Amino acid sequence: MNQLISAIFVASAASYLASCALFVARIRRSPTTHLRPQWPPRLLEIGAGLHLTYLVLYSVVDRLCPLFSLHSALGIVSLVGVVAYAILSRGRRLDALGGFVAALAALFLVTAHGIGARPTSTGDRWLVAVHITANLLGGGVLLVAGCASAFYLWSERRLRRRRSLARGPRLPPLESLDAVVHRLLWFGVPLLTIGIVTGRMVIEHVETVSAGERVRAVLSIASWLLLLAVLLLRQLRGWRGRRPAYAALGGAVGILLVIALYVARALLGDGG
Amino acid sequence: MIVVGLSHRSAPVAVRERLAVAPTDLPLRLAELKQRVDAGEMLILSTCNRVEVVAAPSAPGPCSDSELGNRIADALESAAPGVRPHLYLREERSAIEHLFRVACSLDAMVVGEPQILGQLKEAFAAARSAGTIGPWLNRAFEHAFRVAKRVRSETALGAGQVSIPTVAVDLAREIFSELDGHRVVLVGTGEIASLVATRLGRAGARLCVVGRTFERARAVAGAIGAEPRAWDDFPGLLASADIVVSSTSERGHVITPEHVTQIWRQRHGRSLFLVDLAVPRDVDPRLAEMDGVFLYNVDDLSQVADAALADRRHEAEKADAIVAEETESYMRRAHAERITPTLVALREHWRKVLEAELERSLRAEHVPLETGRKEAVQRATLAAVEKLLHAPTERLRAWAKEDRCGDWHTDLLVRAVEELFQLGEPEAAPEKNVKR
Repeated sequence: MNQLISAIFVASAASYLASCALFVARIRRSPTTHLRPQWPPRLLEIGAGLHLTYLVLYSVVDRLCPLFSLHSALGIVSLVGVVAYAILSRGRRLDALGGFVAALAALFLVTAHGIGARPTSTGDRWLVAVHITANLLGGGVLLVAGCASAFYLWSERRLRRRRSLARGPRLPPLESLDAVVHRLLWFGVPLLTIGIVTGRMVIEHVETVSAGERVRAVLSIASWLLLLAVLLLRQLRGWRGRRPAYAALGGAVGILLVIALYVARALLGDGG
Repeated sequence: MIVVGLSHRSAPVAVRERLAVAPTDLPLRLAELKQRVDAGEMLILSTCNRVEVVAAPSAPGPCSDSELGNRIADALESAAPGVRPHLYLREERSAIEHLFRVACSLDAMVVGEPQILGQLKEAFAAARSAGTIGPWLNRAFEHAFRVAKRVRSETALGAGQVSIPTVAVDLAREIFSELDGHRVVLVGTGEIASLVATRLGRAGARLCVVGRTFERARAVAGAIGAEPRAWDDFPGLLASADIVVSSTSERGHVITPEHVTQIWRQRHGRSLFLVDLAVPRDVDPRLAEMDGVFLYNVDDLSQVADAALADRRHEAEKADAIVAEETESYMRRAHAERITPTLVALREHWRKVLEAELERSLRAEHVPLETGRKEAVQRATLAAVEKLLHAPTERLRAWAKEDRCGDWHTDLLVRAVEELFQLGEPEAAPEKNVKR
């Protein structure tokens, strides 16, 4: 069984990396030979399917609920990102974003494999389950929003520099990126709100809160506030362009830091 | 194969237009010219940058190409007197290389422009339906299309836009993705601005024209399929516009940051692409600093076009190398194929001679052979032919492939073999039984 799981892990990582390489080949301005546009997203989907199988088998073998293991949590975050990309990229030219999502998914898969299965929080298991689920779904979606914002800033900067469009990678159109970020915020911010609220309730039941947990909570709340502000200002005042893109990127970086802190704690041996 | 014609490199438009052939007249002109010059195969390529006749003689040979070229040049001169000094003639390898360069858009006025390949395919289809395409032109054009495809996939020759209207459309796509339903406001009635607006309209954008003189705006709007609007409507149009193309002859700025700030709330943060083609400029350059506003003036657009053109020149060197390689490969194959019928005839000739000799010997000796034994002797005869001719065949093929002196060298070789073995002559009547 373990050999099968390892084989699926390798196949999934290989699919993600191949997908990333093909996405990069597509966005490069230099010509590519006979590369069909559907190959990179198909490989990404195959990688995600294998990843899901890997998570399920891993959880069955370890007899551990995927929600209560950082190993599976990282996998779920990246799967959510892949699914969000797959839905939003239909009819849009978002190859650059696809490459980034594939690379991120591969990174999360390999990192999770390195951590291994470690059980997480105790306390009210239902509340913790809701907290973790909301954070995983929201986190995955908002990370993709952060990627899209970064590409928005890159593309915008290039347009302002008035250089030849034939040079550099083929980036997605600004309007597509803007629409993608907006939709992802609409989906991700409410989930993150649920995560923040339930997190506050979980902490009330905990006797001692470590310094690391305080930093994570502060980072989470700061990211949430930033992303909420972007969403509300966009909705109420039509706030679009460079500054909201910077804010959304900042929020996503905050979420990534929170995940990195979890991983660091797990790797340092303080549980998952 | 030969190419006779003129292009933007050899003749001004005033000369080119005299030879130009409308697509509807092409079949008739092809038939007339082919009959007049007695060509085996023929195709006419007529575009705004070139008029060329590609032909192959009915009987290939060292002199037939030049003779055919001269006959075509005479015919073109008589059709449009005075064009002869502008005509060029390419033969054999040079003609193939020229055809490949044209197909790859290396000989185009704007290197890398994609239209020429489509025009070449249309000309080929027209010639094919007129029945003027034979094996030589068929093979050359099929190979040319493959070379063009290879150049497109292995170089970035067609990447980037190199004219102001196409650069503007490309930039608009970088901002808005698809232009369907996006509103373009043309301010003023300048010629290049109209071209830009027309291209945006073709890409699916909704066009409207605003001018100080409504009559003039209406005339331009009618020409480009846009909606004419009065000058007073401009502030309202600015609020709903996605792209503004401006080319008025006003001395001051027509669009200022104050104008845009006033209507910004109504736009709900939508991006605004301003294309300023006027000199002096219509759009205040301070607008380039505004978030969500993308301002390109005529110099910016030219800069982007020039950079793309420079990139294409660099890519053209790679494409030239591909064309040279493919020309070499084509010529080798063509020479090898040219000698094939002679080699087949040679083998057939030897086989018949040996079989006849065998038959004659058996009859002379009055030795009836059993069917199985006779077949074995025939197989042995064929094997002997194969063995005897193997080395000469390989040598002839190699000479033909390495022919660097042009088609005439292969032709000479073919004629020498045919002459030596009397391949073209009728078979001698079987001799009567001869007592040995």
